Amino acid sequence: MLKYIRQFLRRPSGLIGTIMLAVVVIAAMFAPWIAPYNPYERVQVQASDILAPPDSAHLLGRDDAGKDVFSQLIYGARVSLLVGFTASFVSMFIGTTVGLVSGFYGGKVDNFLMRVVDFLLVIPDLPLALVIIAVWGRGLWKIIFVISILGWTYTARLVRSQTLSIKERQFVLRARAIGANNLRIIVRHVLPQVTPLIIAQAVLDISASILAESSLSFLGLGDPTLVTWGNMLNFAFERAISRQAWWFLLPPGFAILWVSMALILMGSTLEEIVNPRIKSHHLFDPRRMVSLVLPVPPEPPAPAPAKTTPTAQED
Amino acid sequence: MGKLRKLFAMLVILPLLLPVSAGAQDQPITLRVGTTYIMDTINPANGFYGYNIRPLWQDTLVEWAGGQNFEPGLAESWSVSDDGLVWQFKIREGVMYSNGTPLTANEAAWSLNWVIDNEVPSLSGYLSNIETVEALDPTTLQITLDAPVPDMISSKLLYVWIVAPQVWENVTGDDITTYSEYDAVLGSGPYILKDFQEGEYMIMDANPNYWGGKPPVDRIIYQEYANDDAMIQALLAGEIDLITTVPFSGTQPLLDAADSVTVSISDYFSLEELIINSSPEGTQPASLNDPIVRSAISHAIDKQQIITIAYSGYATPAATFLGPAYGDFHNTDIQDDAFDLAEANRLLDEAGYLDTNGDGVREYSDGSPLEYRLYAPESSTYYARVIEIISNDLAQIGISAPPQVLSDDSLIALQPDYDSDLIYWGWAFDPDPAFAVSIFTCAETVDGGWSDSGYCNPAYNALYDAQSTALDHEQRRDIIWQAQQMIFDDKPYIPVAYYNSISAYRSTAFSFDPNLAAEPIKWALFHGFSIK
Repeated sequence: MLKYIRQFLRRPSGLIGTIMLAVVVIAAMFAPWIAPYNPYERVQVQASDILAPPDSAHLLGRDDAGKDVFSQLIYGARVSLLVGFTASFVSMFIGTTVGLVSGFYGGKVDNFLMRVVDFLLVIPDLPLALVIIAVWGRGLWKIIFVISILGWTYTARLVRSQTLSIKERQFVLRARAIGANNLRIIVRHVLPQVTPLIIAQAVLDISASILAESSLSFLGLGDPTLVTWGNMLNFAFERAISRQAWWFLLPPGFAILWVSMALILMGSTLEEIVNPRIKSHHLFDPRRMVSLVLPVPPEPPAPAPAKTTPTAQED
Repeated sequence: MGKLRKLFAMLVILPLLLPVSAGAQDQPITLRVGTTYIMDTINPANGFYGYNIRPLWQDTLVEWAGGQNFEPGLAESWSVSDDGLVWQFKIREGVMYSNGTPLTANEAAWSLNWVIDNEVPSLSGYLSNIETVEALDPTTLQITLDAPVPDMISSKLLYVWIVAPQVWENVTGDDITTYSEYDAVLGSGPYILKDFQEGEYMIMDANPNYWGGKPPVDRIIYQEYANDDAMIQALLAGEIDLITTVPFSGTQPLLDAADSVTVSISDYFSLEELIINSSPEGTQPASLNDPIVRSAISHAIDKQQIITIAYSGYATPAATFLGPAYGDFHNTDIQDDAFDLAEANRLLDEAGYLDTNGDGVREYSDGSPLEYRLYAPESSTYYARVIEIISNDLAQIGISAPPQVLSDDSLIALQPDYDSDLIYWGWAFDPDPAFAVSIFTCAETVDGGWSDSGYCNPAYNALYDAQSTALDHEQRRDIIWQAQQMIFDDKPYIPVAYYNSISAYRSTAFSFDPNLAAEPIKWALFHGFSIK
């Protein structure tokens, strides 16, 4: 494990991504101490405070309700991270379960589950989320739920394909020979093999979930009483553009970009390192496999052996 | 639904603007109007949608001239019998539908009878008390009432469009509320509907047969915008010429562009209020029925703050449900509850609502906390800001009311069972106070009625009935003042603001009457309008 972390931090993309995310996590955790104002608190405002430009008391100016934009930016990180981590955890859980069951049992079960996945894959996520929210009503947990149930399909496919290969290996046969049942084989022998892949995918999912939440809130389908980056964009787009209040519009957009970048950098670096196919099976070209499941451009080649060997020795 | 469109707003707005061909000197003059909502359907039985636009196509016997002014429309004059029961209207001679067929008192009478006989939704409500409508001759229309009424001109005939029998004779049953071919709006008005795409645009051309003379512009194009700011920018950029209803947050940028844009701001028949569920069958907690709690809530709402933030200052604090736009119907004796958190806390303390368990929320005598649901419609972004402020204000007096926005449809669906506590919403009332007064009557608490508070009080009903037959203006005013006092005391509504009507146009191309914001578009086009 420590080896993985070292490898991870040794890569520039991994290190930069981690630092970028750490900034956001710290901001979210310590929001009440970092933020100069509490955006949920009542403020008495004058007409001149509405969309007031940045000054020393309000570093990023004020919004259409006269509240401090900088504080909202910090508090907004909480909702974004909550949505991102929760939704990606749920979709990771569903996706892994479906992928394992589908890949391990094969046959009709596989066929059925993969058709469900295909069905969800062909439906464009955002419009479907819009419809579901419109029918069910708003609320943070509803948004998390919608993002979760729409976001597990890639994980399921990834895990299934990996399971298909793992279940044919010798150690699975041996486990079965000494009497292990299916559940035990899946949990004890297959799952550990796919876990690193799942984690890498989950990190990328967090970013997708945060983007989805922001999109829904921007479209006015979030909970407008919460301070989130998407809601800030929504209010800015509806009420601030004519006043040319860039200080209200740009920061939340930049924050979303920032956290997405951080997670994508981390996710793709993790992918490179922990993909078990790199080490376990000479038949699979890791880069090509990754390019099949991830919509990212080909990564630079895996680290040269000369570099990894000393690391291993240090351990 | 409107929210979904925002997705496409930025991409769609610019290309959608219809090309206006440049070229020859005698090119038609086009007025391009920006709006965030044109109408759902042109079907006249859904007449509340687009009540500002419909007079361009179909005439009414009487026209609303803005404010409390009413002018002859298709009827050039009228008289009423001494007992107030028989009204005779002299219909203009030589009036033609836009397709060239004549319109006489016969067609006008047919239209009114069509509304009454078919109980056409949204229109027949206006024609209560009418017993018979008949055409005595081609220029005389006679209406007989079962009781004398004060609002014959100012309300009853104002929105009942004179339709074309040649079209509507063939439309029956449920089709009456759905028929929406373009000839559904065939009438004698100054413009003819040519093209309508719901949610996108509407095009209408001048009617050469219009009795009031040649319409001042040859073509009117309504352009729908999914986003307020995009519409403001379009006016500043000269892509549109007029915005009839300017959003509050977009007004300042237009005022700043005074060299090319003129803004008109006016009082309006508007009301934004906090509705307190008052229905005897409602699901509100018992504590909400206590006048002390209502009074405390009223003292705890900072109306000025709401106006500054949500309405960008283009509103005045409201004490009663009829605003200053109603002239002397506006009860000026009512002294509003001042914003005073200490007073609100004192009221609750003295009434025994104490926070016994120290969680910051007071408890009712039965131990239940003063926790209320606070809803607002999602249709306007600023509502979210309002309920945020109200929720914060109420928290300071130990009342928990977490804010929540719901779709307009969901809110309307709450009405039959009165399954709500506090709702922030608003009205755009008729120029005559009759409708505004009617929404607190028991009769409106039925499923589909207009009562969103569920308030039902026989004494109030009696006042409503009295004002609807009070012919003397002073007497009617006194009754309506009493009605306002009763609503103020019982507080089914806590009136918050009367927002202004704001219009803006490009002064480099056109010139409108300074009072534009108070006038319907048809009236504005024929009075004080000129082309530069």
